[in-house]
This record gives sequence, structure tokens and C-alpha cells, in this order.
Amino acid sequence: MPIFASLEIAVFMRVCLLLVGVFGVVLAQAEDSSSVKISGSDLNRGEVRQPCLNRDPQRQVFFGDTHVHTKYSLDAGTQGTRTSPADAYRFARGAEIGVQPWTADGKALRHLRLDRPLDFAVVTDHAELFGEVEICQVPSFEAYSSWQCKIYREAPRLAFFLFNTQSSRGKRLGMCGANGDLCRDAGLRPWQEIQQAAEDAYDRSENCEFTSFVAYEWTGASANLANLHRNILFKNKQVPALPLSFVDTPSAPLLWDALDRECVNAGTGCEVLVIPHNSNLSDGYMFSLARDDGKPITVADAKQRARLERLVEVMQHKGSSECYYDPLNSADELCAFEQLPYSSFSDKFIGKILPFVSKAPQPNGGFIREVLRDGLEQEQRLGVNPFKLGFIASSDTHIGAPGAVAEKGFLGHGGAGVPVGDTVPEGLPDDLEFNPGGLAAVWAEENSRSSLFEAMQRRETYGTSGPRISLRFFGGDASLPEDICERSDYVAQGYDHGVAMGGDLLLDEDAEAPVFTVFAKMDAGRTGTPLQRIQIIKGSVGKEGQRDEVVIDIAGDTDSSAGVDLQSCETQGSGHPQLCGRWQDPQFDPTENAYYYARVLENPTCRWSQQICIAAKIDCENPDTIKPGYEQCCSAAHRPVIQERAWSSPIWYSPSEDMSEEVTKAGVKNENVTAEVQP
Amino acid sequence: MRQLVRSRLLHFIIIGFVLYVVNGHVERQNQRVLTCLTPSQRTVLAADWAQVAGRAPTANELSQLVNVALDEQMLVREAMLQGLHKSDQVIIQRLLRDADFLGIKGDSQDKIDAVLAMDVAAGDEVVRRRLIQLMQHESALNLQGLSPSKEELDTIYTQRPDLGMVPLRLSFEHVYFDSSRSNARVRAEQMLRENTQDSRRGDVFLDGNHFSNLNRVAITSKFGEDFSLALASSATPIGSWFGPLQSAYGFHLVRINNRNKAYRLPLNELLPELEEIWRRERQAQAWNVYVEELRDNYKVDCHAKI
Repeated sequence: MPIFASLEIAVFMRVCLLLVGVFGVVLAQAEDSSSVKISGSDLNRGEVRQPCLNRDPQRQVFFGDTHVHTKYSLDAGTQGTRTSPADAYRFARGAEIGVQPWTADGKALRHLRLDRPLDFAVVTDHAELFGEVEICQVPSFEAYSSWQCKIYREAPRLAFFLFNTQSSRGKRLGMCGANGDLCRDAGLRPWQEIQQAAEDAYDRSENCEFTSFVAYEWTGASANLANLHRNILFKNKQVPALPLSFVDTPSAPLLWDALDRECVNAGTGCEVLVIPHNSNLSDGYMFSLARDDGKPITVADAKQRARLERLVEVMQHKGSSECYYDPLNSADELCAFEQLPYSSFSDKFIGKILPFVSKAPQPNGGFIREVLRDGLEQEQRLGVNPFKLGFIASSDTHIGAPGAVAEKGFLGHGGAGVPVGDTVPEGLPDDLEFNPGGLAAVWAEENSRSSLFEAMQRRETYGTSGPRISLRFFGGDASLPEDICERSDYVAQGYDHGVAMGGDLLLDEDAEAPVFTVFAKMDAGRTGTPLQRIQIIKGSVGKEGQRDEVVIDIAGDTDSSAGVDLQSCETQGSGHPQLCGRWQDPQFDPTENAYYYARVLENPTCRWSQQICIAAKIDCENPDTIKPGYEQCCSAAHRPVIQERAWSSPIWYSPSEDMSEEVTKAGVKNENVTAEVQP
Repeated sequence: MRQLVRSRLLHFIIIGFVLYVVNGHVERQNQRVLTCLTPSQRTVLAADWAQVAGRAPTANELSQLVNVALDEQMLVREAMLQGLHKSDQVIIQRLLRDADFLGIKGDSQDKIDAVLAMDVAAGDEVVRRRLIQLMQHESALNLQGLSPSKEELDTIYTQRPDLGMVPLRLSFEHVYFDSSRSNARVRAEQMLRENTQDSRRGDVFLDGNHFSNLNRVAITSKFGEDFSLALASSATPIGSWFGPLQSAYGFHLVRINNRNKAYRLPLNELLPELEEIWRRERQAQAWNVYVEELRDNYKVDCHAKI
């Protein structure tokens, strides 16, 4: 009776599994409670780990990628990505991974390896682990044309309602069945595997070579399907039992409330950061000033938001969100850098069919420079700045390849790639408007979770479009020495007389205009492209609500003749291995709210697409050379040249009478401020 | 007892039961049929692949793609024959949602029955992926309790020399001379001659003057390849100044304070990693064997020979 036997075995196995699962949960809880105790001590800044040999109280820069999708993201999985979270971490540490397509017996037809490892990486798979939302948005999905998706696209408001009705909350996608069936699947759950992979990859030895964080992506969309996506990053292994997905928490305020409930106030030692990305595709909805009920945000809302959302992705695979560029009216031409030609994903797809209906990017479409000014305005209104956002950049790779951000040999992050072998693929490996993405740079004492996380919380971070440029930015009063750029104790002077990037300017009432200093060093590791110049960008909102913006070159060559030969991609002209500048704001008005951030530019180089077009010997003058797949090389939208860059987190200034509680919380000089405010 | 054995009722029951079992088996076997791909489905497969790979698949590659698609079809069918879709919470929740979209009324069981009758499950990408995941999990579970032998771990350790390599690490300090200023090399040589090394008398280097426990790759990232190579291959004794070494930024006088040679972690420190590799290999093998066997159980064989 083989059938009986197999049935019995199956039932027996299930019972065993259930027991194993229940036992596993009990064990996990036991382990959790013990780690909570340990983390409560002061040992190694609340972590169970060996102290780092390489530790610098003046901080060192660590480069990483905080936005990585593996096979557990449905939109990556359906494109053939088989990289697991563990593989992605191995890749970040320098190992080779296989890249699709795959043979039937599971061999990758191409491979990829970083030219140098990252210091940290964060796997952020979509929490909607089975992709309900995403699946209907991307035509390459098999289910894109399913009836569910048709409803979703053709009647988005209805679908939104269906997705978000009260009954759908908590239970709908809750992977954990109410009756505990879930335990049976303990070994299966991607969330468990993601946590385990992060734990395994984290170097707790004294070498402190690599750090990982447990994280996921909350894949939210507004009613008109604009992008609201946010990465949720946890400081340590105390994390919620399940990731809070868009289906569980179908709006950003609901997400923050749930994170407060299930992490911050859960009493488990859980700490969390929320990092919004692609506000360039949010059509203005990502940094909404309205609550879910349509009323303006309150002081409590602003405080919650400022507490949880301390960083934003200034740039990634799907474009730059720094600032809006209008070819006719924008004074800052450098805002054209990697700007997408549409304002949301739906417009991207509409544009493929009806180009004239697709909505172009809008000035108020969620670009960060404007959002930061919204924040200043809210601070005048509420006394709290809800949008005090530091900067990072990342890749948003969907092939599980963190840090693969070089222009040269770009694979395409959406599931396509250049094979390493002899066969050169035909055509561009990614959509023309996309790019390899950038890196997150963090100034921390050492490469450990607590040190990096605390740096991210105080926003001492910056983003780069790929190169590992070093960048320091300090703001203070006139006591920042005139000759600071010449001093070997530059960093010590910066911290002594000012605040680092991400902080708040603390000026005495009778102080002169603030002084800033920026020091940048080119990336010697890869191409060694020299630096061209350093700029400071100031955004302000006056007492009467007038908005202003200035972009100032403070070091380097404003009229640089450096360029690049588009036929060979050889760079021409001179640049600087290091640049430093000190600048005092001549238009400072102590009654205005303002922010200042630094932007460092490399000399121009060939964009990834141009490198591939040249390798394919495309000559736009000669139509015979334009092979199938390369038509875009000669399109009007093709930008052959880029200027790689880095963006520092801003330093904020608020008029002193408005010195709010928020300032005292975030400032680098915590104690000083408290002492001043509460004499 | 004898009466009972001779009882017609018992014979009836036994025969009936055997028939029931055989019938169930035959019915199940009858459902183990694959639908071969139509030419248009093959065209779609080829087009999707070309979009990813940037070129059309070769005949061999196309055959492989077809086989993968057939295997998926087979695995989903098999999973549903085994009833996996009836007990998994993720699939149940998904089916309930499908029912809501369709506007089906009733309690949960009504909804699921209705959706299953409409054959929605096998057409739902999420359900299909989940079913295959469940099958893979069951296959992996069969290996639980097995552990690798010492010899097997030894073999992996020998075959993968990259595992557990700890590279050379250097702790060093330097005095920097910016080549965009005049006489960088001359100034460096003079300082070395006079033995007055002091980073405050050099130029400012943003990353600082002291570095601790860095490997070659990290040094290259901060100074460039030429400097990194020269530093790592220097034979100057620890604690002595030497140089100037040239980097992408200028010239450097350098003193190595500590040198941790490259070494490989012993096997027993790599046990969890080695066991994981062994387990993954075993799981892949077991899965391939299972899929092979399943193919034999299915009636129409459309798989291409490769």
C-alpha cells in the first residue's frame, strides 16, 4: 500500500514539522530574551561582538549599499534572479555570483564580481514577499495581464480600496496564519532567511571587515500609483516577527505607527530607520504634508516623521532625486544629472504607448531640494522640521549585486547583464534612462552595526553616484580657522569649531554669518578620475515664506576645460586629487530658516551607455552601423557624458528663538544645546 | 473467525476498498499529463530570454528553456495533486484575496472552493511560485538529520582554497606631500634624509595619517594600486621610515607598525560554512533526482533531449 504509506509519512512529517516549528519559536524567544539582556549592558556599545582593531574616534568613511533585492523580491525572481540574501552578502564581500539566464541544470550563463568589496550592505527585499502590488505594475511579469492586475490598473481607486479595506489589514497578507500554522513553515519563511543571512554575513570578529543589517522594503503606492517606497533598516537582530508590508500598513503614517508599536516601543531593544527612495517617481506624494484624513500634519506627526525618517536616497538606479531640472528655466544645470523623463512609473509605461500623455517630471514632484524647503516651512509653522533628511545613495539592484555601480561594464540592474565571457550581448542591457546607481557613505568610528547605525541616525552620511569619493563637511561660526584647509588637524578643527554633515548650526545670538568647510578626495581605487570642483547649495525660507536657492562654487575650477573624448572615452584636462574650501555665507539672514549641503564633482567621463555604444562601434552619422538594440545610442534622449559626484547631508540653520526640541535631539553638540536651552 | 473470513460482506468491503484505492491511483496517474508548449509559447520564451540576455537563444538554450517551463508546469500540477495548496496559509490568503477581487460571497471555505473550481490557483503566479517553494522545502526536509562525513568536509575544504583566506593586513602611518604643490618628491626625500618625519610637517591628507589593520584592497581604495603594491611588497623592517612611495595623490613617507601575514583559517573554524556548502550541494542533487523521477511519472514527454 504505497499510497497509505506515503500519506501516513506525509501526515507524520507535518506533525513533526509543527513540533519542530513550535519548539523553534520557543527557542528563538529564549534566545531573544537573553540577547536583550546583553544588549542592555554597555559592553561594546550594546552589541555582542569583539571590539574592532580599526577604530578611529575622528571617524572613518565606510562605503555600502543599503538597497538590494534578491530572489525573494518577486520582481527580481520573475526576471530570473536566483541570488539569495546570503549570496548577495558574499558578493558584497568580494565573491563571484552567477547572473541570469540559467541553464536547466542550474548553471548561470554569466558571472559577476565587484572590483573591491563593500564595507557594508543591506538586503531589502519587498516585504510584500509575494509581490501583490508590484506584480501588476511591471509588464514583464507573467501575471501582469491577469484579471487581478487589470482591475488594479484600470480601476486603481477600486483596487486601492480593495487592497486597503479594514478587513485586509493584518490578516490579508499576514503570512502567519491566525491559528499558528505558520510555524510549520518556519524554515521556509524568507524573513527568517533574510535575518539569518544578515547574521551570518556580519563580521563580529576584531577585524570588523563587513557589516550587514536586517531590513526590508515597504512597497507602498499612493492612490494614483505614485511611488512611496521606503526601506526599513533595523539596528540589530531585535526585529518585528514579521515585516510590516504595504498590505499590513497601507499608508506611510500607518507604517510609522506600526513600527513604533512593534519595534520602537516593543521593549525588545528594537531600533529602526526608515529611508524613502525614488521621491523622483512619487509625483509629490512621498513627502506629503497631509495626514491620511486629509488634514495638515500636526506637531506629533512631524516629530514622529523626523524621528523615523532621517535619511533619503538622493540617487540610485532609477535616477537622481536631488533637484528638478527644467532646460529653459533652471539656473543649476547640474540638476539634469540622471533625471528621469517621467514623474511616476505609470507614466513610464504610458509613455511607451502614448508618449504625449506621459507626465514629465514636475518642480513639486518630490525632488529633495524642494522637500527640504517644505521642511523649513513646516518648522516655522510647527516648530518641528518633519523633513530633516540626510543623504545616501544606493543601487536598488534587482540581480542581488550590491555595489555593482561602475559605469564600465554595467550589467543592468533589472535582470539583464553583460556576460563576462566572450559573447557580447547585443543592445543596451538596461533602459536608457536608468543607471548603475550609487553608494552610501557613512562616517563612523568603526565598521560595526552600532557605529554605522548611530552615524546614519545623526545623518553623518553622504551619497555618491558610484565612485568612492571621500567627503567631509563642517559648519560653524567664524572660529573655524581661516587656514583650516592647510592644517593637518583639519578634522579635529572641524569637530571642535563646528558640526559635521547632518547636524544643526549652533550660532550665538550675536554671531557673524556661519562658516562652512568642505574637504574632498578623489577615488584612487578604480579610474582615478580627478575632482573638478566643490559647491555648496543653500536653500532657505524667509519669515514671509519666500523661498530662495543659491549654488556657490567654493573650490576647484569653475571654468574647467576638462572633458572627455566621446569616440574613445579618454578623459582630457587636469583636475584635483584633493580639494578643500572654506566659505562664509555673505547673504546670511539670521531670521531665515536655511539648509546647506555640499556637492563634489568629478571631471566628466563617459556614461555607461556611451561606453557600450562605442564598444559596439556605433556611428550615428552612419545608419548602417546602428545595429538592432542600439538605436537608443543615437536618440535625442541619450546623454553620453556624466559627471560623477557626491552629495553631503545638509547642515541646518534655524533662527534661535525657534530653537526647538528637535534641534536638541539631533545636534552633534547635544549636551551643549541642552545646557543653553535649559539654563 | 473462519465465518468472518468467508463472509461475503467482508469480501465486498475488501474488493470495494481495493477498487477505490486503485481507482484513486489511476485517476491521479491519469492527471499526471503534461501539455506540450505551443509554437507561440516557445516564441514567447525565446523573446523573454533575448530581452534578458541581449541575444537570441541558441537551439540548445531554447530546449533548456522549454524544459524549465515544462518542469514548472509539472511541479505545480504535482503539488496540487498532493493537495499542498489546501494547507498552506500563504496560498489560502492569496486565494481569499482572489475571491474578493472576483466578488465571491460566502465564508472562507466557500470562497476557496469557488476560486479553485475556476482553476484560478494554477494561473496565479504567486500561488505557482509558492507551490514550487513548498515542494523544494519538502525535498530539503528529507535531508534533515543527515550530516557530512569528515572526508566530505575535507574535500570541500581542499577544493575551495578561497574559503577562510584571511589576507595580509598592515597597520601604518605616513607623511603626505601633495604633488600639486612644488617639489613634493624633493621635500619628501629631504625629510627622510633629515629623519624628521612628522605628519604635521607634511601636507593634509583627508583620510588622515594613521591606518590600522587594513588589507590590500582597502589600501588600494584609499591610495591607489601603485602605492598599495609598493607598501605590501616592501621589505623595510617594521618601525622604520621609508619612501617616498608615489600614489595617485603625491608622495608618501611610510612607516609600517604592524604586519599580519595572510593565512588560511583551519578547517574546524570553517565548519558551519563547509556544512552549509555540503547541504546546499546535497539539496540540489536531491531536487534534481526528484524532478527526474517525476518526469518519468508523467505521461506525455515533451522534454527536449539535450
